[in-house]
Amino acid sequence: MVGALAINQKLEADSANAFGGAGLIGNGSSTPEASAAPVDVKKSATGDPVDYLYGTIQVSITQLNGKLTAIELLQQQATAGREQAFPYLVKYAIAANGSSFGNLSNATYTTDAFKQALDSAISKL
Amino acid sequence: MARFEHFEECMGTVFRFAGNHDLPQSDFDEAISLATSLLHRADQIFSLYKPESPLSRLARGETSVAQLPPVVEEIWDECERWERETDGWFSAFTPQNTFDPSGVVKTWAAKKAADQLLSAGIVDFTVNAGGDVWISDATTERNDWRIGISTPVTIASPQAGVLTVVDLFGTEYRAMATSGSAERGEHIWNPKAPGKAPANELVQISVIAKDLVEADVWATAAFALGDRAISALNARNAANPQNQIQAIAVWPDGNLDGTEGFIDLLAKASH
Repeated sequence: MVGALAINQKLEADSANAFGGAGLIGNGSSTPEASAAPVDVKKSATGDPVDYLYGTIQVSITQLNGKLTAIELLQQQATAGREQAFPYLVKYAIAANGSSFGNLSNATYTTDAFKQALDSAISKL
Repeated sequence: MARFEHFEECMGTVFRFAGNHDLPQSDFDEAISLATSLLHRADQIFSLYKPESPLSRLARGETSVAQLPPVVEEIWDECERWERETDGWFSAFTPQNTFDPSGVVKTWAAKKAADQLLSAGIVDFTVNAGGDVWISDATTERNDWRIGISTPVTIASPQAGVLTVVDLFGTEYRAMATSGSAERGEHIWNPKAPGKAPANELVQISVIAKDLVEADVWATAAFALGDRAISALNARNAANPQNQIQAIAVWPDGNLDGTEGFIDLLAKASH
């Protein structure tokens, strides 16, 4: 036994917010709405469920003034919780935490099913 | 020396190559292109998501190993070797008894890609193969020797963060791999369970070894070992003083345990 729990808690506190930049994908390609009207234009849409090897993924997205502001995971049999930002995660995580470590080790994440689900939702906006 | 960082999407995940090089840009670009083509080639051969890949045809019984590219036999042998090495806790045979070497192919291909860069004269870099990390001997950035271990929740969750940080500088270790259910659910079968049922005692285990494939295979095997993983690795280390493997396991209730040598690898907060 290493009794690493106490150490872990300390390190966790040190490195909290490693992923502070939530919404890493939040970069919808549309241009902002016309400038005159200060009224926010909010749209949301739900994509089709996409089956993949580890389950089913389905996302709903919210767009504010042409910009993706939220991605919500409706169905993810494989994991619980919300999913965002697969492909560029490593890059962002490192940018956010460059001073403390150079790489992040984690269970392998999948990109394809997520992107497909996202594309499906975007196409319905 | 120029700093570089290259991302390559392949095998449904992302590979990152980052470090320093002093090649002319065109030579560097060519080296990266050759290295990443090895990843895609491996994917084309071994993907079970592509119905026409040699491995998919093999799984359907349409062909035999002898009829496929020699690299398939190479991987087959490699999987057999790891199965012996892990006392059967790693197995490339699915619960349906088809050959699925995905557990090895990603890091095996990453290693080939890294070798390609080394032979092109790029020697100072790290590779992150969808969460499995390798550090070259000549890595100069001090920080690149430090690897964060993700908390055992999906990277997209609001609770995502860093469990702890290890520092491999000055050690014989060059690789870390993490297995867990946070991203892909219960996808690791237990080769020794009835019906090879999914392993679910642990939520995550990170393994540190000299070699990337070794770390990857042991992370899979240790995940299947579950509650027995740490004691099994301690026993294995006692029998292999020249080639140690360290690990930190996380249980669903948040409990942690590490191998006897793990604590020495924890990064110092002062850095």
